[in-house]
Amino acid sequence: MPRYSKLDKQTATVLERISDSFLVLDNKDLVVFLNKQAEKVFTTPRNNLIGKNIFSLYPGLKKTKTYSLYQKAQKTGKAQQIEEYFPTFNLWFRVSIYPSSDETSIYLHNLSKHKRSEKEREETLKLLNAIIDTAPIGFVLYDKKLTYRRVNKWLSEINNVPINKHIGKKPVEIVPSAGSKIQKNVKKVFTSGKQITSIEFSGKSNSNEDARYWQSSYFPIFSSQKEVMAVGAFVRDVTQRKKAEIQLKKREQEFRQLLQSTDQGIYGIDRKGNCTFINQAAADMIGVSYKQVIGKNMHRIVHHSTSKREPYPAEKCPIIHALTKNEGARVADEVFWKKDGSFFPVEYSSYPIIEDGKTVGAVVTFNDITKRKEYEEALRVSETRFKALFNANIIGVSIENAEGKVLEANDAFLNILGYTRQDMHEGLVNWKEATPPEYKRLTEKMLKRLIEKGINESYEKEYIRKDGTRIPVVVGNAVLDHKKKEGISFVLDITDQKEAEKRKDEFIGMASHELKNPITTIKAYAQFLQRYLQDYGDQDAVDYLSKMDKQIDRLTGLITELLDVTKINTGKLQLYKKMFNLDEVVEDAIENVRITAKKHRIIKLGKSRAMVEADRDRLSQVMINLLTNAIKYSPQSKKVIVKTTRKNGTITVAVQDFGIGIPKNRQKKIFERFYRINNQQSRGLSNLGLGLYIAREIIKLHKGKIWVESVEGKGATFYFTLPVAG
Amino acid sequence: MNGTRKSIWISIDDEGLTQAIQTILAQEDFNIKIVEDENHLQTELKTTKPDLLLLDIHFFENNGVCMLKELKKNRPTSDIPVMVLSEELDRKVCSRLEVDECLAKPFDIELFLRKVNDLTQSSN
Repeated sequence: MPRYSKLDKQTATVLERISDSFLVLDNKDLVVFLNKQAEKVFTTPRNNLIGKNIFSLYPGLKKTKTYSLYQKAQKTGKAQQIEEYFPTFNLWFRVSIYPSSDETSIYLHNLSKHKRSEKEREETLKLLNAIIDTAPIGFVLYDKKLTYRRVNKWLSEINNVPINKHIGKKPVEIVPSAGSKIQKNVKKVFTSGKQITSIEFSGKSNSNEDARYWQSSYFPIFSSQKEVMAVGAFVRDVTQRKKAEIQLKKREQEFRQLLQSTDQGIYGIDRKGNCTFINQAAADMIGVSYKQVIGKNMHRIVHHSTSKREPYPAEKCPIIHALTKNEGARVADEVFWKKDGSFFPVEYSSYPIIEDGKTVGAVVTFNDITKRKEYEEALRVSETRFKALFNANIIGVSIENAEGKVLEANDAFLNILGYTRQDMHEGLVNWKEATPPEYKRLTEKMLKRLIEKGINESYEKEYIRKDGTRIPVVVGNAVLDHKKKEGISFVLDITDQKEAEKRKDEFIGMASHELKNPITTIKAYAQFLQRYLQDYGDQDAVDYLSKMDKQIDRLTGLITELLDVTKINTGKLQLYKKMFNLDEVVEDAIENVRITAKKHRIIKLGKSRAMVEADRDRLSQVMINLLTNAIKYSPQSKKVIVKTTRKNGTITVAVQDFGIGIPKNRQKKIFERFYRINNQQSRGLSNLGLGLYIAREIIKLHKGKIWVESVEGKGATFYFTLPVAG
Repeated sequence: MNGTRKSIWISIDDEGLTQAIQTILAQEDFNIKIVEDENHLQTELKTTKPDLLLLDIHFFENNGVCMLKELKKNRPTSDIPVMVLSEELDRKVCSRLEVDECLAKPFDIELFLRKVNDLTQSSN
C-alpha cells in the first residue's frame, strides 16, 4: 500500500475497506493517497496516480463544481459537500471535501445507482407523457369515481370531445352509446386489480353517424399500498380496420358463394397436392362430400388414371406442374374419375397460387364436358350426313345471302336452275331474280318468316331457269348465320310430281265426266220405268226402282265430290255470287235433309237476319254436308241443333250433334282430303272423305272459317263463319 | 199433246244417253231427230226448224259451245229454244250463251219433261 500521506496504517486499512472512494491530495494537487475504491473510479493503477497531479491527469475534473469547491475548501479551510455528476467517469458522487493545512481529503460516495434510477424515472415519465400526448393511440385515466382524470389528444379526437370537457365526467356522459360498457370494464379492473386486454366494442361517437369500432385495454395503476388507485386505458379507433375486415369477410363470403353457385367445379390444392377447398359443383361431379376430400391428395382421387384405365403418373400431370413447375395449364382431352369408379371427360385449367414469390398451391377449375362431347359427336355425325346429302345431289342445296345471291350450291341445285358452277362463281345465280313475279309476294312472306323463326317449312313455288323455262320446286330454308344474313335452302324439283298431279286431276275430271253420261242414262231409264210401271200398278217393281234411283243419286254425289276436288286442286272452283239472306239457305238445307232423316229432329235456333254475297248452291252444299254428317255420326241420338248467330259483321253457323264425337288429335285432320275417321263406331259409314275438305275450301273461298269442337263420345259441333255483306 | 207433234232435235255425244232420252221423249209423243254434229245441224236447219234443241255441253271440251254460238248468231235460228245438258250447272255459261234452260246431269226425268214441255209450248 503506498504511503505518502500522514494517515496512519490503521486509518489507511479502514479507508481501504470502505465502500466509498477516498483520496488525499497535497497542496500541489498531487495524489498522496487513494483507496481501492478510488483506484476503481479512476480505472488507473494506484502507483500510476500517486505523486501525480490528479487534475492534470483528468483535466475534465477542472470543469466540475467539485473542483471549485475544492479550491474554496483549501482557501477557507472549511469542509465542502456537493452531489455532482462526473462526465469523466459517467458517475454520480456525493463529494465531501475536508481540508487541512497541507492536505485535503476527498470522499466520493457513489450515488450513481440511486441517481440513475431517479433520472431514468424522470425520463421515463417524460417519455411516457410524450407518448401519451403524441402516440397515435387514445389514452385515458379513470379515477375511482369512474370519471376521466386524464385524456390525451387522440382520445379526445376519437370521442370528438375536447380534452378538458372529459375531465370529471363519466364515459356515459361522453360516449353514450358505449359508456356503460366502458364503465363496466373500468369497474372490473378496479375490483379485480387485473388488466383487461384488447376488448373490442362498437358504438357511435357523439357527432358521427356511422358505427365506429374501438379496441381498448384497461390496466390497473397501484398505489404504494398496492391498492388500485386509478385505471388506465389505451383506446384505438379500429373502425377502418374493422370495416376493412367486414368488407373482407363479406368479400370472402361472396367469393365462397360464387364458388358454390357456379356450375364449374373448383378445388384448391396445397403444395403437396392435398385438397384445401372444393366447391359443391366439383364435389357433385366427383361424387364425393366435402369431408371426404379435404386434406386428401386430389390426384389420387380424380386423376389417377387415363381414360384407357392406365395409371396417370403425377409427374406428368399438368395440375401438378402448376405446383412443381409454376406453370398454368388448360387441358380439354382428359378425364376425371368419380368415386364410384366411373370417369367423365373434363376440360380443366390449373393455375399456381403464388404468395410472396413462392408457389403455395394451385386452383383447379373444371367442367364435365360429357354433354359437349355428345354435341360434338352429334354435330360431326350431322355434318357428315349433311355432306352426304349435299354431295348425293338427290336434292338441290344452296347457301345464299339475303340479296338472293347463291354463294355455294351442289350440282343438283345448279341443274334445277340450269346454271353452271362457273356462273355461280361469277355471281350470276340469284334465287330472288329467278323467282317469277307471281311468286314474289309469297317469297317475301316466307323470307320474313324465315328471319323471324330461323326456319321455314317447305313451300311450293317456281323458278325461272337460265334458259327462261319454268320449273316447279318445293323449297325449304333455314338461317345459317343471322349476322351475315346467310341462309341455306333445300330445293326439290317437282316437275314429275306436278305432271303426275295434273294427269291425276285430268283423269279424275275425265273419269267423272265420262261417268256422268252412263249414270244419267241409268237414272233416266230407272225413272222412266218407274213412271211406266206405276201406270201398270206394279208397286214392288216401282219400289225396287226407287231404291235403285237412290243408289244412283249416291253415286252421283260421290262423282260430284271428285269433280269438286279436281276443280279445287286446279283452281277452277268458281263461285257464282249473289246477295241473299243466309237464313234461307240454312232453312232450305234443313228442309232438304229432314226429308231423308226421319229419326232425327233438327232444331233450328237463332237467325242471322243478314245478307251475304255468296254462292248459294255451294253454301247449301256445305250446310247439307254438315247436316248429313251430323245425322250419320249420331245414330244413337235423336236431335241435331243448328244455331245461327251474328256478331260484329260475322255470321256463325253451328251444327251440333250428340253422336260419337271426334278425338282431339283428329279434329284438324278431318278437313284434309281423303281423311276418314276410322274407328269402331264409324265403321260402315262409308264415304270418300272429301265432304269436309270441299266444305272447308268453299268456306275459305268465301273468306270464312270452318272448325270443329268435340268431346269424344259426346258429340261434335261444326262451326263456319261468313262475313256479312256490305 | 194436242195438234202437231212437237219436234225435238237432240245433239248429245253419248249414244246410250241419246237413246234413253229418245225413248223417254218418244213415249211423250215428241218427234225426235238425232243431230250428229254442227255440219249436220246446219244442213238440217236449211229445210226446217225444231221446237227445241237439246244440246250437250262438256265441261272439258268446247263442242256444244261452238254449235250454240253459231245457232244464236243467225237470225232465223236464234229464236229456237235451246236446252243444255251438262255435267255441271254452269249458269254463267248458260246465261252468256243465251240458252233457255240448263240441266245438270244426272237430272230428274219429271223435272226434265216439265222443262221440255214448257219450252216446246213457248215455241209456239
